[in-house]
Amino acid sequence: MSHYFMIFFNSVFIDNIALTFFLGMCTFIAVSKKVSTAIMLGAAVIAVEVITVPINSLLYSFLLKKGALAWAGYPDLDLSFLGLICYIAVIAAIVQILEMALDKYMPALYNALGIFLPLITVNCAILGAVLFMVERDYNVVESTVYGAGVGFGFALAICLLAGIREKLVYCDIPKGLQGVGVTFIIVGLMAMSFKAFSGLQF
Amino acid sequence: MSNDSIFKTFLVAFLLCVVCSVLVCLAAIVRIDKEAYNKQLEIRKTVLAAGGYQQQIDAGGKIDELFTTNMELKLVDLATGEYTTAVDAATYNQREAVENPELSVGIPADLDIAKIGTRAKYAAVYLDKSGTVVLPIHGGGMWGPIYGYISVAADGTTIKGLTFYQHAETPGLGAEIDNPNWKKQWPEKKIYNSSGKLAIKVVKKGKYNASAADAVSTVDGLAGATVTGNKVNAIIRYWLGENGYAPFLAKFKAERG
Amino acid sequence: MAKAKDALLDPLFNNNPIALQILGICSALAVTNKLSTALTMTIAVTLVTACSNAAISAIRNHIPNSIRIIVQMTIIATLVIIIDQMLKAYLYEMSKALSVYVGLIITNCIVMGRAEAYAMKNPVGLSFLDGIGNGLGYGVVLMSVGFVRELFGSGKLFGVTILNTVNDGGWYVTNGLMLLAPSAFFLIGFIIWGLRTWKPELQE
Repeated sequence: MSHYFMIFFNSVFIDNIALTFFLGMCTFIAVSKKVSTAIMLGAAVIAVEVITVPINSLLYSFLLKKGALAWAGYPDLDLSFLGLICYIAVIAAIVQILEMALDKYMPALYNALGIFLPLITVNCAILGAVLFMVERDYNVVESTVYGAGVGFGFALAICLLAGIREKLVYCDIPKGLQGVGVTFIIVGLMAMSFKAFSGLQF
Repeated sequence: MSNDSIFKTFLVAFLLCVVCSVLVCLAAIVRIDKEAYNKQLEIRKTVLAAGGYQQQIDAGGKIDELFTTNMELKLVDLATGEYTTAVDAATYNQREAVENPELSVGIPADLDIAKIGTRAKYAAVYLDKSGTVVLPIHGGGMWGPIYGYISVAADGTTIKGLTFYQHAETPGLGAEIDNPNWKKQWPEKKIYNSSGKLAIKVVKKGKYNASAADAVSTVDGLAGATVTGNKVNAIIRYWLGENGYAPFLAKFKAERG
Repeated sequence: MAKAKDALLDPLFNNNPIALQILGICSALAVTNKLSTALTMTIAVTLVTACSNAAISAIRNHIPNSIRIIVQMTIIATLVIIIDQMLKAYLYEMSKALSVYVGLIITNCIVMGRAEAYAMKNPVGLSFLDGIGNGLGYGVVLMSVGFVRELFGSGKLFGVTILNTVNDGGWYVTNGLMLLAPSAFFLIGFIIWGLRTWKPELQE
């Protein structure tokens, strides 16, 4: 149990996907002007991560990994070079299916999340989490926990940033620095404060 | 024909898939050949560097040539410390053996200081003509696993060199474990103290005291990379300890030293 | 001719993908702690953007609208895999340093963004130049950040010692912050500030 908790804790705080690995930055900066939209995007990212990371983990361990096709009679086949194209296809497909399913069964939620779902296909936080999962060789349960952790970490970071940016309206910032410029510097400061977690030992 | 007709959609999708898959497969074929050689070359280079051939490599010595003339591959059964021929040494891959339940063994959690989890039963060690032996070591680092080789003299306790070939430590901080100035501390350090106890350790940068009694078994850490230092310490102490190469090194000493 | 020049040079400063369009920051910043990785990443992204732009532009009149995104994705992913495989084959050390970030070029918004915004509407030649231009615009920022980070973080440029560091027995105490993630954000923030002070028409 503590093993899973550690994976979760690690991916939320120590290895925060947005603030330590710089992944998902485009959406992170573009959609963090208001807390309410940031929460929505965060929720969508959590949902997609929790579904896609374990599915890709299954795909990797039963189809792509070296020797994974032993059950089909090809013990020496190594298809891991096809990984990228498969993962991105799975992500694109899951996002599409999720969008259609939400539209049909939960129209209220769909209307709230709607515009954020397509954005997520090209959010590197998703593909990044999948690639890290492969690199660390997580099994299905571990990768579900990891996916949830990464999604939660991203949601946490984007909500914090949106909160700060809402307050920033009242600040007198030099003209050239306004908008994106100062946002980068704020993200840098946030990343530094998250560094404090990296000293934690388990 | 309309672009959005079902037939055209399928046709475009099909043609695209065919073209892309041919290109990807061609690229993969080129890579597979080269990569196997690259990996082998990297291992050979690391083994030579750890075994004290860094100068010859820097001077432009042919790695393959140096390797085949000086190094002899042997498999060691870690549990007994004896050489073994249970599997074919030429085709044995210690890193892949971890995946194979028949060739690997779980490390009890209380002994697993280097966060290894499962290790291979047999280690692929290299005997150098000069009498030293080069041993593979690995374990968890700060951001990802660390892999390397350590070489030990015929007396079974004097380190001759240490080199890592794979790690993901922070560049400029933890990654300084690749810095020759740091690595040069290792040669001539003693693994075991006079009573045969494991003594080698990495301490926090600046805590090294050259006049202390245990200085001969102490290595100074890296500035700003305490975590990496601790991880290297754990890896070294695990592999040179009772669960690692200690039984082998005892026999090695009896045989050669 | 003027159009070709615009397609190539505009993205360098006037419409820089990172500083102004806020595209492609994701995978980029993590590879800027050394100039050599930043350069390899720049070349890889430029190649992928240029080739994917050209390929998508060449078949733009035949792409069914309903599968547009996935067609673009497939082309981009194919190119990225080829680059990844070539790096592993010929620049093995470099491919280890870049680890997963090469794969992440697929989701680099610059590639996707230029395919959608430019290549779908313009002829092959111009699209190719636009891809090169955007790749270079991305590279300009990447290299400037990499220059500062490597020089002050490790005292080196392209791995050659410039400032003799304490670890090597010299005088320069390395600035550890420069090697960590946050410094890249500060540097980009300052680059944007500088660019917008220089060209006030770009201010928000």
